[in-house]
Amino acid sequence: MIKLSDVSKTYKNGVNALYNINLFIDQSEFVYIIGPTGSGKSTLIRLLDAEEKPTKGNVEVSGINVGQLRHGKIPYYRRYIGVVFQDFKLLPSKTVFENVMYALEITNMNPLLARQRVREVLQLVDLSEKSSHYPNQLSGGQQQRAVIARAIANKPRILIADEPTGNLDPQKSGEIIELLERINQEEKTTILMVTHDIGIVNQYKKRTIALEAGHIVADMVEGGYIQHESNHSTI
Amino acid sequence: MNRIIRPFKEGFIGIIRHLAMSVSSIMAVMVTLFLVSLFLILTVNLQQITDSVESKVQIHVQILNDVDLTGIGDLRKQILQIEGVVDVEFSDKDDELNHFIESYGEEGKIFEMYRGDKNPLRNAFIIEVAQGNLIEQVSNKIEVLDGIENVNYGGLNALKLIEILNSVRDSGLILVSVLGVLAIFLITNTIKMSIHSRMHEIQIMRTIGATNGFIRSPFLIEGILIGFIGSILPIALSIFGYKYVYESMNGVLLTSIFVLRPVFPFVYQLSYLLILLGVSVGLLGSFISVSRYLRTVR
Repeated sequence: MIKLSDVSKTYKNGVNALYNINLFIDQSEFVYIIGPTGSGKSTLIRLLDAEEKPTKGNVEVSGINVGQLRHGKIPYYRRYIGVVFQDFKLLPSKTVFENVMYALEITNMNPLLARQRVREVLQLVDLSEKSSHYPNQLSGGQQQRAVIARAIANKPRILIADEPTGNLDPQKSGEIIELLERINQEEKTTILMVTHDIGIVNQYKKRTIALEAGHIVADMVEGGYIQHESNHSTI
Repeated sequence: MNRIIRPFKEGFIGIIRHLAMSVSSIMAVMVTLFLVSLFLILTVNLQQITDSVESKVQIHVQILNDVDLTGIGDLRKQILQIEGVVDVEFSDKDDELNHFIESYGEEGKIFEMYRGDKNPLRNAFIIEVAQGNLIEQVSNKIEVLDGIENVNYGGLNALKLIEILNSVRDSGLILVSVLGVLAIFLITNTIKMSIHSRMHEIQIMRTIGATNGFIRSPFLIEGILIGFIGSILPIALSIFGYKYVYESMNGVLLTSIFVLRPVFPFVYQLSYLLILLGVSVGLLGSFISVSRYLRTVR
């Protein structure tokens, strides 16, 4: 499903973000990616989202060589994955409803079905009452849920969530995880979730991949976070 | 169907939701199109005046009395072959006298006594030339033909006037072209700035998986609309302004020689041109700016 072979990424300014990453994530897996700031988590997401090309190695998603995608083909690939961005990336001049609708409009979906689907996902993330609000009229948590609604509206095969609980209180965070779990089980969507939240990692145990300084330092299939005596306190 | 309607809907919404930016772009279009229109009206009228003066300048050729009708026919053929000659009209002695008498009005009647055999005038050709600047050249060529007594045209003054009008018109045309380029530059830049403020938006659209065409189309409609709305006021001002000026000057500038361009259909042609200019500049400006930002994101 997702296969990274010997992937390295060096940015133009010389910053090394990832070193020789080898990773395989199967269809309908639910995986946490943890690691301190600057460990390469965001770079990993950018590689999967085709925002960046690997300097070395191959990034393969469902048989597509993501790094080799032509500029014009990238949009079609992106409809296949849903991304919950840490900085939301909601369109400021569109309402919540229109923002979610946009993700369906780009696929040229029948407008009636699309509107129905938008209402469905907004209900799922509990934002139905805010559907005619603009992003700047929402709280951080509400924007977060709007982004999740947009990411799942299109029923993507893979959902990448960058800190989806970053702006939420523990109770709401739990609800989001349960929502992601449901999507994972019902739709068989592969979920990659980047998080700092050790509480969640320990409470909802999943395969956990730990990154540090561009290397995979742990890949715990049984899940949970094991506290080392060393420098992991920043996680 | 949705594919066609959506860009229009989104384009309209885009203008309304970014009202300040839209208004400033529309203003830029308005001001420049107004200037373009003003200079176009001036240039077109200068051309009109030049044409009307030119058409009034004719060459008058007097033919020697001993040339008979066949000789006149031959001469006419020879003159017609000269480059730049449009028309050669034959006017015999009697016609010439009539014309002469007429030109003196009431007092001309005393010349009635010269009618018939006593007519001292000569048979003549009245020659029309394609362009004013050819008059001198054509005259010189006719003068050397056999059987010609005298060649006459308005003289150097007429030529000078045409020359001046032509050069003023040419500088007007240059001004209009420079202004046109400036207009395109100014409008494109304003639209670029308004789209620059939405660069973030364009990048998000691409991140979500919208194709370049899908992202671009509403912006193109927006550009077209801005160009269209921006051209309405200059068009209205041109139509009513020119109509007012034309009517208050009775269609001429100072003297009846300087005939102005009639209001219709000129103002309609002008309107089409302004709309076309506004719309295409709006379209071009949007296309260039959006495409540029699309290239910056992967």
